[in-house]
Amino acid sequence: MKVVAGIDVGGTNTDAVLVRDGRIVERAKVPTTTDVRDGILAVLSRVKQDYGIERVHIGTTAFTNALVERQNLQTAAAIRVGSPVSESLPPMIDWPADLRRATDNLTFFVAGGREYDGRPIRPIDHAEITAVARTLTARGISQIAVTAVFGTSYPEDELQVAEWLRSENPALQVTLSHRIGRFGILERENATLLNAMLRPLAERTVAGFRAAVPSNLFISQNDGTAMRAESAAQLPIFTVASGPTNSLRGAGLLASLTEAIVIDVGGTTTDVGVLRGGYPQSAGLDLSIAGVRTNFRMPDLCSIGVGGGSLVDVASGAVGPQSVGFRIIEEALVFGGHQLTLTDVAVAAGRADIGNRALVRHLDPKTIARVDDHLRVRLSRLLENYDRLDRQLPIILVGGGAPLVLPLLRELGRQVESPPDAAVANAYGAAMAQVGGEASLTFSSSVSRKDALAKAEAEAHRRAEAAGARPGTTRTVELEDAALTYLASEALKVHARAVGDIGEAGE
Amino acid sequence: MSFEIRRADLSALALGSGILGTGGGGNSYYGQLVAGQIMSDTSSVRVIDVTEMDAESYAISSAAIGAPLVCLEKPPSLRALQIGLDSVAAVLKGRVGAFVTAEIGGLQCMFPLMLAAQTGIPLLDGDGIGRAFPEIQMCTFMIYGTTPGLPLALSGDSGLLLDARAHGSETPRHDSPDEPSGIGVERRLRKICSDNGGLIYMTSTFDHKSLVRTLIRGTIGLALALGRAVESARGARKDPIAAIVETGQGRRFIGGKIIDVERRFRAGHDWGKVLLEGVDDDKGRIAEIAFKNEYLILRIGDEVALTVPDLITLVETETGNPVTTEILRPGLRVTVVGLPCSPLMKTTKALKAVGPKAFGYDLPYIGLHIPAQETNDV
Repeated sequence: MKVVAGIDVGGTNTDAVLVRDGRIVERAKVPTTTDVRDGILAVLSRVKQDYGIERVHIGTTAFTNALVERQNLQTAAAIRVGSPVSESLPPMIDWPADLRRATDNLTFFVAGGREYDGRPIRPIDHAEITAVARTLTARGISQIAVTAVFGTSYPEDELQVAEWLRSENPALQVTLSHRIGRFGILERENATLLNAMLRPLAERTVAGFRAAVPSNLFISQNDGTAMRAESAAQLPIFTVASGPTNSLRGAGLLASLTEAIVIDVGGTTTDVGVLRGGYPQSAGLDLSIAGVRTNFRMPDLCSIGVGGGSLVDVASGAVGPQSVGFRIIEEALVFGGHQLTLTDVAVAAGRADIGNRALVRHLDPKTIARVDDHLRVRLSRLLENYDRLDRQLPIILVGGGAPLVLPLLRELGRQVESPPDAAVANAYGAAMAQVGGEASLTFSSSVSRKDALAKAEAEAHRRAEAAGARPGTTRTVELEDAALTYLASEALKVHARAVGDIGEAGE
Repeated sequence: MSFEIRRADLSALALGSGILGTGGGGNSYYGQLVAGQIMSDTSSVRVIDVTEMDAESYAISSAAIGAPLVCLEKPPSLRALQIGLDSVAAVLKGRVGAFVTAEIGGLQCMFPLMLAAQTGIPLLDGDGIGRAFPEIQMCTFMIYGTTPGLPLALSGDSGLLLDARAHGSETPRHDSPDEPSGIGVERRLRKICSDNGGLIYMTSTFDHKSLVRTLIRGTIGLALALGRAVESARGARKDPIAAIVETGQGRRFIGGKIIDVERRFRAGHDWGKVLLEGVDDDKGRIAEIAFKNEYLILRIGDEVALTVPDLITLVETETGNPVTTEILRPGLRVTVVGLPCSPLMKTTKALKAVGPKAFGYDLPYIGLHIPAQETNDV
C-alpha cells in the first residue's frame, strides 16, 4: 500500500501523517530534536510499519527562524547588473540595521541589464565580472546574489554573469533574481540576497532530511506546492511562509472545502485566512520577511488578540489582547490561578470542559453574556472582511481554542466545520501538496494581449512540469496582466502560475 | 512661513503625497529611500512660500515622465536629475532660486526634493496639480499658459536627451489651435520616453511671476501634515481616517470592502472601476469608483457623489495607507475620502482640461460638499 508522508517540523513538535488516496491513515507527534533527522526518523518509525512510503513531503520553519533570529546566516555579495541605472538605490538600503550588521554583505554595481523593451542598457563585460569573482575569492565569500535590471523579463544577463563567475571560481554559489522574485528590483534583490545567505544552512538542513529520507523527498513552499529537496537546498527562501500556507490548505482539504474562511483559535490570537480555489488568498500589499521587504505572495492572514488565554475584563466583557499565553495552566481560574481568561468563561458557560469547573461556578451569568456580546461583535466584524454581497463563505474552525467560539459562530448563523484531524492540518497540507511553476514576463506591443497571456501561461505550465508535475495534470491558478502605462507603445507585463500533481516517478 | 523637511519626515511626506495621489502618481517608496540617501541625519530641506522666493530668480521643476511600473526596475536616478539640472542652470546662468514639483500626488514630489537636498536650494511649498493627474496638460502651469517651461532639458540614465543649452529660451511650437495647450507636448514626450527606456526626467523652468499666478500653494505642507496626522493617529491608536478628513478638510464618504475590480489597459492607461460594499455604519450601501490611473468618479448607489478635479482617495481603513489602483483587489477593506481640489482647478478653463469630460465622462463636475457638523444634542 503506497502512501505519502507529510511531516511538519515545527519549533516545538514534529507532526507526521500518512495519506492514502487523500485520507489520513496514520498520525504521530514527537518533540522536535536538534538533529532534525532524529525527529523525522522517530515520527516515521511510529507510523510506517505497515506501509510502503512513496514520497515524503516536509514542511519546515528552519529558514524562517534563522532569518527572524539572525542565526546561521552566511555573508553574501550583492551584484547589481545595470550600472549606471539604479545606483541611487543601493542594495540593502532598507534593511534593519541589526541584520546588515549581522551579515556584513558586499555590494557591486556592474554593467548590463535591459530596458523594458529588451534593449541592453550597456553590454555586460566579461573582464568586469572576472574581476568581481577574484575579489570575492580573495575575501572568502562564496554566496552571491545577482540581480539585473528587468531581469525577470530578460534573464540572459543574469545567466551569463553566473556562468562567468563560476568559470573563474567554480566554488561560487550564485542565486539569480529571476528565479526568486518578481517585478520591483529592490524587493526582488532583497529576497535573492536572503536566499544566498540561507543556502549553506539549507544544504545542511536538507542533508539532514535526506539522511532520514534518502529518496522521493519534497519540501513545502510558500504557495502551497512542494519542490524537490535538491531545489529546496538552492531556494530556501521559497519555504519561509509555508507554515501558515500548509495549515490553511490542510484545513480546507480536511473539511473538503475549497472556498472557505479558516479560523485558527490559539492561546493568544485568532488567525484568519481565506481559501479561494483551495489555495490561500494572498496578501496584496508589500510584505516583509524578518523586517526585509520582499514581493512574495504570502497568505493574507488577519490576527485579532483573542485566544484561550486572553484576559477578560469583567466590567466591559472585553477580551484580550493581553493573554497569559502558555502560562494558562498556572494562571487561569480553572487551573487554580487568579486571572479570568476566555477559557474560564467558556468553561463556566459549559462550552468547554477544561480544568476544574467548580473554580468558575461563582462567575456572574451577566459577565458571560457581556463576553459573548463582545465576541459576537468582534467575530462578525472579522468575518465581514471576507463575505461577499451574495453569499457567506463557510467557516473551518481549527486550533486548540476552537470550542470556545464554535457556539457563537453557529449563533451568528454561520456554517461551521470543525474537522477532527485539525491538529495535524499542517502536516496534512504538506502531504497533499502539488508542484507548481511560475512565469513573470514582459511583452512589447508587437505581441497581442491574447498571445502574451497564452505565452506566459504555457511557460508556467512548462516550469511546473520541469518541477515534477505529471504532464496533463497542470492547470493555471493565477494569470494577471498589467500594462506599462503611459508608454506610447503598449508593453504588457504578465504573471502566470500553474500547478499539477507530482509525477509517479517522483525524483 | 517656511519650514524644514528632515530625513525623519520623509515617510510622512510619502504617506501624505500618496493620499493626495488619488490612486495614481506611482509608488513613492523608492523615491523616499533615494531622498533619504542624500539627506544626512542633521541636514534638512528648506520649504518656502513662492512670495519668499527671489523675484529675479527662477524655479526649476524636475519630474519623471514614464510608466510607474518601469520605476520599479529603474529607480529614481540622482545622476539623471543632476545632468538635467546642470543643463538648465547653465542657460539660467545660475539664477536658480528654488525647486518646485509639478505634481504633489505620489512619487513626483520626491525629485525636486532630492535636488533641493543635494544643492541646499529651497523647495517651493506648492505644485501644479494639487493631486495626481496622468498628463502634462492637466497642470495649472499648462492650463494657465506658463508652457513650455523653457529652458527645458530631458535626461535619462544614459545622459542628456535634450540639452537646454542647444535651444535656450526659444519657444518651439507644438500645439494645434484646437487642442488644449500641452497635448502636443505630451504626445512628443511620450514618444521620446518610449524610445529611451520608458522613463525619462524633464527639467523645466518657471519664472517667479508665472508661479505667483499659477502655483497651487501649500501642498507640500499639506502632504506632510496629512502624513503626520495619520502616523500620529496610528501611534495613539486613533482613527486614521478621521485624521485625514480633519487635516485635509475633506469628507468621509463610505467605508467598505472591495467586492469587484474591473480593469482594462488602453492607450497607455489603466482604466477600470472598483466596486465597494459598505460595512459597519455603511452596511447596505454600494459605491462604484471609476479610474483612469487615478480615481475620477465616485458613485454612491445610483448617484454621482464626487468627480474630478476634486480628490477621491482610497485608504486602507485600518492603517490609513493610500490604496493605489495597482493594488486594488477584492477583500481589501478601504474607506473613500473626498478632499477639495484647488480653486485654480475649478475655473471654466481648468475644468476643460481636468473635469469629467476631459476624461471621457459625460458628466458635469460634482464638487465636494461638506455637510454642516451634525449637532449632538443627546
